[in-house]
Amino acid sequence: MTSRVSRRSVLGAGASLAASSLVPRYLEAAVATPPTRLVIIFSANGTIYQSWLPQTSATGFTLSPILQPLAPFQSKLLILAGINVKSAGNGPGDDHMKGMGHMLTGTELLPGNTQGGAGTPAGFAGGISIDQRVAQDIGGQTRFPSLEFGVMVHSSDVWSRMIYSGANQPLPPMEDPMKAFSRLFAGLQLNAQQTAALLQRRKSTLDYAQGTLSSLASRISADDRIRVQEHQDSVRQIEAQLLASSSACAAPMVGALDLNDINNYPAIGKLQTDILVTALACGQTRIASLQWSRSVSDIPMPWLNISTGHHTLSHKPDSDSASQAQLVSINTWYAQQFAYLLQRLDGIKESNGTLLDNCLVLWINELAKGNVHSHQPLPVVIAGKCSGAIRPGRLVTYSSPVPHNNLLVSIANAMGTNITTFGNPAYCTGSLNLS
Amino acid sequence: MRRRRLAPSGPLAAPVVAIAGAACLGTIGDGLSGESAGAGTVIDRFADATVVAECATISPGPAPLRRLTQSEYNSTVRDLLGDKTSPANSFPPDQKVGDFTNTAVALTVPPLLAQAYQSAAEQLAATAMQNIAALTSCSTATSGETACAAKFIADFGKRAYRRPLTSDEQGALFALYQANRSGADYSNGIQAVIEAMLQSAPFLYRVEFGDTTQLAGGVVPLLPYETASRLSYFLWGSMPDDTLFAAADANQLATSAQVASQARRMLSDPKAQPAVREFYAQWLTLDTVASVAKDPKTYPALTPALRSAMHDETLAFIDWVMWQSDGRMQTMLTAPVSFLNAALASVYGVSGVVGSALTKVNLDSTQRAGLLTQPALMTVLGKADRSSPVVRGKFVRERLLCQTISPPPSNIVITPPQVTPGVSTRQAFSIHDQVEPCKSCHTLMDPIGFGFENYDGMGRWRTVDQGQPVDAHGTLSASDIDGPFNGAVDLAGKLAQSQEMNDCVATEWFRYAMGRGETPDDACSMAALKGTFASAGFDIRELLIAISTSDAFRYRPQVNP
Repeated sequence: MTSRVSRRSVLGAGASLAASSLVPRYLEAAVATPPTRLVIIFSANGTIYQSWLPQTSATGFTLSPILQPLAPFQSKLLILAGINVKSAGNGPGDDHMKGMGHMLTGTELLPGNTQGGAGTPAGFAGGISIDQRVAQDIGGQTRFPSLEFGVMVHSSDVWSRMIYSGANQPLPPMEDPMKAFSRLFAGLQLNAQQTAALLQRRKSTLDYAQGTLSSLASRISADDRIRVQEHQDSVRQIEAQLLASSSACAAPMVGALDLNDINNYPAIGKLQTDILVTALACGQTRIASLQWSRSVSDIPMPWLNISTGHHTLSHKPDSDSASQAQLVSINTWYAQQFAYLLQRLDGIKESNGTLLDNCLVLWINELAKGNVHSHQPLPVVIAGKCSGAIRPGRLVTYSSPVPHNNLLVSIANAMGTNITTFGNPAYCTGSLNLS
Repeated sequence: MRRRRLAPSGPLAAPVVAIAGAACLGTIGDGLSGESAGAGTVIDRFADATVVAECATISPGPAPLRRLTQSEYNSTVRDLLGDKTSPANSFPPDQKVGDFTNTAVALTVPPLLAQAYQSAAEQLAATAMQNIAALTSCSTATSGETACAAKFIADFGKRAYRRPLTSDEQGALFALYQANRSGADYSNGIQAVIEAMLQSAPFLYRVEFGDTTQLAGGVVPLLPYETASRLSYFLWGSMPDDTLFAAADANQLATSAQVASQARRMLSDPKAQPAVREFYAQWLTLDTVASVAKDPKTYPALTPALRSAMHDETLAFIDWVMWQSDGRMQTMLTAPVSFLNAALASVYGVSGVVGSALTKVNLDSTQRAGLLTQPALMTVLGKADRSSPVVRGKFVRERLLCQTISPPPSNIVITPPQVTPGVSTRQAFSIHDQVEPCKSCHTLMDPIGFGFENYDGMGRWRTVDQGQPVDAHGTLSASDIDGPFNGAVDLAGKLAQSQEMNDCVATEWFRYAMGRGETPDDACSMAALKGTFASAGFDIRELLIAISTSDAFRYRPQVNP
């Protein structure tokens, strides 16, 4: 087994690689037949649709101004026009909250007044997100069932969470590249005997912790038990990671960045992208997401000379051409970051093509149009072939709006999860043909 | 005050709400009704007088299982192990619901957190082993390793689990010790015991079953150790100390007077200071000062160091009100003093302050009054490139008057005005007063927020905005202090006189103390503590005592697995 993957220049930002590294044993089989991977990218506040929508042409489609940065990968893109977050017409929450919470779950938010009260239940999403549904099937094959990355999310409310392991169970993203890095790649600097002792101790302490959780779960109310059982699941997941924890990937370095300085937003995003790609490349997980800021993100972008916050701008009327131009700039900038991700994925060779070819990369937004808070037509970009489950190089325009639950079903199917409906079945009418 | 004792927001709020913006306004906190305050809905669970007619029966409200929050974890390991490294600062953030991050039902343990618990436990245990003598007085040389291990498990276990261990628990931990001792040595076994306990349910959760021998009407009083933990986590944000453990050992936390006596002792302890700060930091959203997005070109002076100083200033002011001054809400809202260093003095335009340490400064009482005009709050409640009358007015409604504003209707084009040279913020936002559908809801926010127009988006005093003279006249409506006012100093004075504001503070403290919203079952507890708060001249310290001794705090529903 070579460590071809990890010797690549997997991390940018001046990263250096360890001279030698181990590739997890489970990857040996995987490299023979590279597995499919699912990557979900989020950016906020809707888009400017007419500047986002590609034009059909005789040979296929012509990229729009916003998507122009994706030109090098046009043949690997599948653009979907006409997806409708139909569920967002229902249930509690404002349009941003619903957009964010429904986006990957396809169901209503839980009742509860998240604006102010501390009622029961909390008002997070009412179901599992599609990536976690896929992780239920394939997450056990890798050290981490999934990895969640964030860039300056800076909050922990319903506007800031898109990944859910179940109803009222949001999974927080890792927002600090250094911490993400050390979680994933900090190789154990121990010899075999020390490693064995550590693993033995971890196993015994986790067993004990698990026992106390089981005992507690049996003695408390049903409402409390749900949370303790989630805790038990989490401990089980860590126990499963124990076996893989001695086989780290490359050990490059990540520099510290001020996580509050808005000027670092691009750099943090780039580092997180690098770590995400490396984690996929060396088989630490098959499922990853990266969340830029949050729904209602009101960050300015001084590097684009945009001093007004994104959310504030997104409310400007269509007639405000200056603001519309700035929104196009913001969304184009996110397309550039998406292009960087694709470039990194496409730069890693696997036995049957590139890593990108084995990915399904989804770029999604919680809104369609910011100033009316609409949820259709949602700007949806898919990249990669997912080992053949996706046929890219196309713009698909649906003549009548398609509920986004159908898209979620198709994503799961592409990843090998055989479901026929997802989220609230009231909003799901089947699947999409992505191949 | 008595007129409202048993109906905290009922008789007053219900008719008031009907006057203006009825479709927009609600009362925060939905409790168990499970409905949200959507447009057209006014939630006022205390409006029905029959709900609160009888307070003879003890009715504590729900008591969901509570997980240690990040700050509680930090303080607990500080007191348990003497470790001041605040390891929970690197945990994923506690989920935020409503105004606080300690809402019990939102505090789940996703895998990222479980792994962080493991890492922290390993680090904490390793550090603790460097000075294990501080944790146990047992000498293995004289007593033997087995005896010392058993003693450590019982002694340390009682402090870690905040109650004596059962024999089964001691047995399981001793087995763990032996498993990790074999082939290694005594300290390896003890280290594993510490690691395991720090990841276990009784440490991470505040488990309560109550005294089932005193079950009455589905309600049980808390067991002494459970009461001790409620007190210590409420007033110290941490585990009980030796005195509380001793009181629990002796069953001296059973009566209201006994609990009050402990609560008074605890409030006079320095550990109360950071715990009380934590409430204010969350209530005032101070935690976002460091990260709130600001345009560096509009606010080049707003450096990370200045943001940090703003945050510290407000906490220093709160400390002063709570522990040096009279602890009253009126002082909190109106005192024209603050705590400045050189950088903050430049924000205030005050001369003569040097250095980076905060020192008490008397401010111009025509420009500054208490919390509300402090730069931290004005920065948080602003846009990236300007002040925000909307956000500031909304803050007063929601955090100080406990009302909710419905979100804007779906599918309308909302066009917040852009910064335009020559057009003041007030002029730009006045569009809200003129057109529907904006008008009906913004009438509730903007006229309050305009009162803050003398403070720019980072809290600097201004009399001119975009070349236009600042007009800080405002209007309060749908409250018990309705009427015009001029500027935030005037507004703060009016708020300080508002029963509704003081009731709201009591409500917010109750929510924070209980880790949940109030419910109809809490009506009697709420009424009692609001009454006590009023009787004490709205001294917040007395409010905290009243919460500690309330039925909601000392009792819980029977646990039904």
